[in-house]
Amino acid sequence: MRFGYSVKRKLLQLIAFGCSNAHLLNFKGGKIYTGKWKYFCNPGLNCYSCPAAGFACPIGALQAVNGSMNYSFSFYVTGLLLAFGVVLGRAVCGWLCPFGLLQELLHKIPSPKLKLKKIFLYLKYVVLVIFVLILPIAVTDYMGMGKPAFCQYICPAGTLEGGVFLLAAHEGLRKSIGALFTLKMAILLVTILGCILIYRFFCRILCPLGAIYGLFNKISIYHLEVDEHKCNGCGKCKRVCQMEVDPVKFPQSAECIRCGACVDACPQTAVRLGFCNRKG
Amino acid sequence: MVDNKKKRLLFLRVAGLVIAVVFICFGGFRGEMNIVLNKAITICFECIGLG
Amino acid sequence: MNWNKKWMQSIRKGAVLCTILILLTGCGNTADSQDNGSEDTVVQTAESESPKEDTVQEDSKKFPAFTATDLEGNTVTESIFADKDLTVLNIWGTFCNPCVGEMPELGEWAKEMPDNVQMVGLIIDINGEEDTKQRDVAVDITSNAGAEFTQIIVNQDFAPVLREVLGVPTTMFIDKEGNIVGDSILGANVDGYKKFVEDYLGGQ
Repeated sequence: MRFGYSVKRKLLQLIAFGCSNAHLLNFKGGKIYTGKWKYFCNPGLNCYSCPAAGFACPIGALQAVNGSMNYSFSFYVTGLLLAFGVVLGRAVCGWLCPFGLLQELLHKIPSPKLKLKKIFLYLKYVVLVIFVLILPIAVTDYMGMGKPAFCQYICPAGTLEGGVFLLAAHEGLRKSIGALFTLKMAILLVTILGCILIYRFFCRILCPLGAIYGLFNKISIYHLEVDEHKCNGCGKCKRVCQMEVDPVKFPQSAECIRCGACVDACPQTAVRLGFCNRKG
Repeated sequence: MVDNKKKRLLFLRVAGLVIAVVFICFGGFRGEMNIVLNKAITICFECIGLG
Repeated sequence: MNWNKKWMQSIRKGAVLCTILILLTGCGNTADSQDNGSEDTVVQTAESESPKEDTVQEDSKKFPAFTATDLEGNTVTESIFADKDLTVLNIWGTFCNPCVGEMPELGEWAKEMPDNVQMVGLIIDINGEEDTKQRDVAVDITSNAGAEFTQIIVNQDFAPVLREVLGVPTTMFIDKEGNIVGDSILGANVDGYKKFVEDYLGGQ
C-alpha cells in the first residue's frame, strides 16, 4: 500500500503538534512550562503562554528581543528563522506548525468553501513589517522597551492557546479582562470562521511567520520541482492545490506550503518534493 | 546558464546557513537567549489579552 | 531517485521514534513541576472565594516571614507591613513591559498616598546579591520612573507567595498584621489598585 503525502504529512503534523505542546498536565493547574527548553523556538507558531507549550514562539521571541531595552534586533531569533527558512522554507507551515494543523482541521468542518482574492495575500507582509518589526522598536516607553504588538493586538494563536485555557483555570485572570480581550476574541472568532470557509485563512492572510518563510521558498533546500519533460500541461496539480498555487508556473511560490497534494495528483509523476535536486 | 543558476542557488543556501549559525551564536553570546527564556516562562498577560 | 525516497522514509521513521521519546520524557518532566501545581489549586480556591470588594479579612492568609534586601542594600523583613494600615505590594520584573510601563504612575501615587498606606515593590528577576547586572537595570528603571519607594529583591523566603503568582505585574494588598487582604490584581491596572485602596479604607 502506497502512502500518499496527505497521510504522511498529517502524521508528522500530529507528531509536531504533540511535541510542541507536550506538557498536557499543565492544563489542570493552569500553569505554563518554565524549563530550559524554552530557550529554543518552535519553528512554527505556538504561543508560549499555552500551558502545554514546550518551546518559545519565534514571533513572540522576535518581538521580545526587538522590544527589549538594550537591543533593537535579535540575532538569535533571526538566525533561527534563517536556518529554518533555508532548510525548509514554508514546509514548516505545511508539516510542523501546530496552528497550521488547527486551521486544516477547522477547514474540514462542512461549509461552503470560498477562494481567496490574491490581493489579501499581501496583508501578512504588512502585519509582519508593522506589528512584528516596526512597532516593538519604534513605539517605546521611557526605558526604551517596546510592546510585542503582534502578540498583544492580533495573534489568535495566543488568545486560543494561552488566553482561553489560562482564563478558564484562574478566576483572578477572568476578573482582569478588559477591552483588549474583547478585540482579541473578535479576531480569534473571525479567524476561526475564516478558516472554516477558506483553507488556511490565517496562514495566507495574517501570519507573519508564514510571510517570512515564504520568502525563503525560492532557495529552500526542501523544495518543489516539476520535470518539464514529463509534464503534459493537464493542470491537475493546479486544480488540486488548496493554497491556489500553480506548481508548474510557480514551483517556488511564496504561498506553497509543500503539502504534496500536487505530487500525489500528477498522473505523469512530473511533480517532485524533496531535499535533493533532480539529477540531470 | 543552468549551471550558473544552480551555483547561485547553492551559494545562497550555504551563505544563508552560515549567516544563520553566526547570528545564532552571536545572539546567544550577547544574552538574547535569556530574554527569550524570561519572556517565555512568565505568562505574558499582554499576549493572552489582558494588557 | 529510489534511494532518495527510501532515505526520506527512514529519516521520517527515525523522526517519529525520536519525537515519541521526547513526548514521553516531556510529560515526565512536568510531573516534577506539577508538585507545585497541585498545592497551587488548593490555595487558589481559597483566594478566589473571597469577594472582590471585601474589606473584611475573609481569607486570613498570612504573608510568609522573610528577610531580604532592597535595592539600596537595606535589610527588609515582614515587619515592614506593620508600619502602615495597608501595604500595596507590586510584584514585577525588569523584563516585563507593562510592569515597567506602570512604574512612573506607581511612583507618583506612592508620593500622594494617604499617610497610613504605603507602596512596596518586589522584583522577581534579580538572582540574589551577585546579580549586579539585573540590579543595575532595576535601579535604572526605578530612577527613570521616579519611583522612590522600597523595592525588595526576591529570594527563597518568598517562594510560597510566588508559587501562586501567575505572571507580572501582580499587585497584592497586605494589612498591618501581615495578612493578604482581598484578591490580587493581575496585569497593569493602577486605577484598579487605587480603587481597592479607596474601598478598603472606606470600609475601615
